[in-house]
Amino acid sequence: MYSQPVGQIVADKTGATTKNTDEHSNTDYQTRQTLTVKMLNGPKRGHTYRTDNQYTRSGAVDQRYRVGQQVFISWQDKARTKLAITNQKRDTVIVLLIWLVAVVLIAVLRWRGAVAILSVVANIALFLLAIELELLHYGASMLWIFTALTFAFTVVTLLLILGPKRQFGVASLATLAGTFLAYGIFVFVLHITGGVGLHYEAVAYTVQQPKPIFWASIMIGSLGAIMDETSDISSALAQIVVETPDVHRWQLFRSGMTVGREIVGPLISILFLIFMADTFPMAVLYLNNGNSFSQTFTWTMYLGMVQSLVSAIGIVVTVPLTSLLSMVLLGGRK
Amino acid sequence: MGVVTLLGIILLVLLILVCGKSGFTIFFGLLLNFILLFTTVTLFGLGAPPVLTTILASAVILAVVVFFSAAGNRVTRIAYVVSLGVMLILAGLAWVIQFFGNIQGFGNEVGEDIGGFSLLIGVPYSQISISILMLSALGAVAEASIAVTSGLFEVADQVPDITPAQLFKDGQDIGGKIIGTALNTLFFGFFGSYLALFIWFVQLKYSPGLLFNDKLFISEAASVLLSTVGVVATVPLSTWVVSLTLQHQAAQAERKEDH
Repeated sequence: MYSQPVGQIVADKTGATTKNTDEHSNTDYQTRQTLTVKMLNGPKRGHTYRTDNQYTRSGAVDQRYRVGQQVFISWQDKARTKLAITNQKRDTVIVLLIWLVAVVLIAVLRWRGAVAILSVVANIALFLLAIELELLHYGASMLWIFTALTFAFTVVTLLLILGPKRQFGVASLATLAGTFLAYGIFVFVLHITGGVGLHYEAVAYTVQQPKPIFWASIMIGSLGAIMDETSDISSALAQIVVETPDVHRWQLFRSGMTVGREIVGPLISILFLIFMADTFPMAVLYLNNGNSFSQTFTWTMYLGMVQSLVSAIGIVVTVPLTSLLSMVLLGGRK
Repeated sequence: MGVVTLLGIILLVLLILVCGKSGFTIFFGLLLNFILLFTTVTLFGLGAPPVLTTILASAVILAVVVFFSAAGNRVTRIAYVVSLGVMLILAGLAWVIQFFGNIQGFGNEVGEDIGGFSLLIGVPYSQISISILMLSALGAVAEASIAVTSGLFEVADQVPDITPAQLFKDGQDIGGKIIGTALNTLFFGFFGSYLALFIWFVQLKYSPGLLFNDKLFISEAASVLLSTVGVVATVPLSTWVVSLTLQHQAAQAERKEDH
């Protein structure tokens, strides 16, 4: 299946462990292991080789290998007499997990689960398409492409969740209004403060200009939460209009605000925890390399915090926006 | 004034305008959870066992999310118990994923970003990866358990003598609506969080074979998938606890009538 050489660990002889203390007085332990690798493909299939691996207790960039694990290897010479392990083969784990989740979703939720999976697949396709488009322009029109993408994401996802009903119109308009209002507030705040504290260099894994990447991620990060909110509020209000057609418009607005207030808190927490948990590996590294709390915060958590706050602002402003749009578009007595 | 300070002030004002007094509670809860997260990271650095620390911190973070929400008392108590249960299930699953996937620490993509650092810091990154998988699922689990529990109580209030079987059917129905939208919240949250990394994968033309063995990609995908499992698990668990509570209440009411 793979063109790269793949082997399997068949024996592991663990050698000596040495203690290491670094210049920040962190104590760590390094262990050497001698592994026997049996080749699973290529011309040397079935042959076994010995190779060394060194791992640390912290394991930030290394790992201990166990018997039974499959690994990618690279040959160290032309004659293929020596090999080195380059990476663990992890595809089984993730493929199994994807299947497990898909099966559970469909088993528990039936067709709704299938629709949820379909919407995720559609969004991944849109997302990849957008990145490809963006690369055609060498990152120059990043923000325009992601603005268009935001429209496409919103329409496709809400259409799948709500169907072509009136509340679909309400939810789409409210989602776009909430998202771009929050984005506008972010740009305004940058303008007022001059961007004090924000270091775009701290954006991890950039192959392009980090600034437009961060701005684009601000735009799409809260989109799901805001769609969650607008579809909840507009469905609840559409239900009220069906049950009591002579409901007063302002009563509809108040009901929308009540529904919205209840979900604001938890939605903010969902995104906050996602954005902040990601910063943990780097934050620990900073703290244990002699950086102060404020340096660690600025260089590892600041961007996540900005992202959390902008999405929280989007989630909050969406409540009155959805309620107002519902009042205008869903009807009710004047 | 820094960007975070001004954004924080704007958020506080908007929260009070939209949510009234509970706007304060939400803001305070967010602040509290930030302090909890920062303390957790600091404890990791000081050598506390990461998984155990995370489980304890999660119990408090969940309490803040659930009890500071606008839901009523009987809802929050059940939602908290359910989220705690799901959190422990996720801890087990995260351990399994880490054991077989070895997704700890930094991927090859990190490159120069960590060049100047000492990596021999003695903190077990394998446990930190379990911690991250758990923490990023917590918010979604709390939200789902609040929504399912309060939905079920609404049904039970309208149909007082509801059978457990009917309640499970309703639970599935309510759960279905919630999971569909919760998946989107998670999905875009993770996309937003790792946009740069996805651009990296596409720009450097990662093959599917490379991607599906990549440490960082797998830890991202595992995060979304595990959070989804957490949200789905919330549905039957909430229904079960609500149904137990209702039976208990009915039994108590009967006993009172007998006296």
